[in-house]
Amino acid sequence: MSYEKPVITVYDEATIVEIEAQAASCCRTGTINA
Amino acid sequence: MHIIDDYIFDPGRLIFYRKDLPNFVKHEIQNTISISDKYEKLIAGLDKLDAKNCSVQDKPIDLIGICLTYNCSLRCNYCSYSSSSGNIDDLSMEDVTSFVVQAIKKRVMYNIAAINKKVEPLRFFFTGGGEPTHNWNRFKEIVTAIKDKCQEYHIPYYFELTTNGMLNDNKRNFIKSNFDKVMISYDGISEIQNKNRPCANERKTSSSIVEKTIKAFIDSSLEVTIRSTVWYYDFKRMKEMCDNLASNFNHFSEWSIMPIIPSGRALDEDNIREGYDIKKYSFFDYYIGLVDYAKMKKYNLYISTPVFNNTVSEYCCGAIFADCFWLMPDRSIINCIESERFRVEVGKIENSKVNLFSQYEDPYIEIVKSGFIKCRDCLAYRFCKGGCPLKSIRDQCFGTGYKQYECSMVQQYWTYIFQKILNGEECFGWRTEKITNERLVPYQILKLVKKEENKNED
Repeated sequence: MSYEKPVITVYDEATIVEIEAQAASCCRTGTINA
Repeated sequence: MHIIDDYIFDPGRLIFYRKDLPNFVKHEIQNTISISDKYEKLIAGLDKLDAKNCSVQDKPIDLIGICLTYNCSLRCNYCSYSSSSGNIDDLSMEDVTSFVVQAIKKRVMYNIAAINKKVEPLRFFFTGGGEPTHNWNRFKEIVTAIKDKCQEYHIPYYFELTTNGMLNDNKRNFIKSNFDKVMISYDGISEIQNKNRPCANERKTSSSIVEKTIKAFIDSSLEVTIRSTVWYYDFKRMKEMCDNLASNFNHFSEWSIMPIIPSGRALDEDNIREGYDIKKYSFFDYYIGLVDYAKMKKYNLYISTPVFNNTVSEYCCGAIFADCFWLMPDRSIINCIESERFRVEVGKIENSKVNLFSQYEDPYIEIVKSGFIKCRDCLAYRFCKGGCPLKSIRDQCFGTGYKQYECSMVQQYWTYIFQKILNGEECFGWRTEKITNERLVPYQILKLVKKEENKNED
């Protein structure tokens, strides 16, 4: 039986901060009927 | 890879190259031009989130949304919140200031500890629900109290407001002195405004008061966006609206056009229930026609629409990361103001104390993840990332087919832009630039670039 070894990605604090900053910039408003 | 006329679009690198390039050049591209899509990193960001077990992180926020009321003096026939009168507003000045002070203190503590200090202003966004200024005295009192708190803690601030414009001179003056940016709803022509946005008191009309408000605001230092929400049967009248706005209002920042989505009172309309037909009512076609028309007429108008996100985007939704909060009239704290009846509560104000939940469920996370992975082969992926999860939820509930309608138009939009820029033109701020890599110079390899948006330039 063979199986693929899972790849685990560990990110440093700076990368996590960067990901969160990108997420925050994605909040859009004004997309409903008003 | 996607074929656009004689070119191949490489979405990972955001470049275009000719279809008939020799293979060694294609290899050279892969070896020398780095992939700008941080897919692995971004999917790791999504994987950190657990839909069944979310918690609000203890981090500083940049935006506080405040929805004071569901009440409104207008009865717009498409209002997503179906705003009316007589709703109970529980959010007090003490509730709002307790939340603001907590956010300010978090920012101050962060700035003491962090190397990259937050220097940008803390944004306060007053919007609906209903009309933020409906209970004027409370609105004024809360705006003033927030400013006082920011000044006390030496925090720079920025105030934004979405309003129906039903204001008198005193109110207009207060807004001019205290806000930085205003979005004012006006449906392009008096006749359509009065038809779509009638007053609760049926003997009155809204157009003349709103038009006066727009004029007062554009004569001030406010950044003014006029928002027109358009029924599909009025798409054909957008050029007429454009003529009216250009001739009656000078130098406002932006005209934002929103085709009506299936939500709130708009669902009362039989045609919306029957679903959308892109061939019959393609907002994309009318929008492109309108932009060309405004250009031909040399109008000094910056036209936009929330339907087409005109930037490269990392995620389609920031709400799932709980990075900004909206205080609601019932004192709940939610992560997206657009979510109306499908909202996710992430906290509550109780006895004027803020309680941000350490555990809540967010069904949008799975929808965002699914779109992020599933849509990867789409031409528009780098700009859309699967689209707003609310659209999927609404479609599941109402079966109107809007998500597919919008999805097709987004693909049409980017195909249109790519065709234009590959033809040497500039389109919605985008253009191509030749790759200057020495070994690739002899070949026609073009990167997608966007100029800094200058709203007054178009």
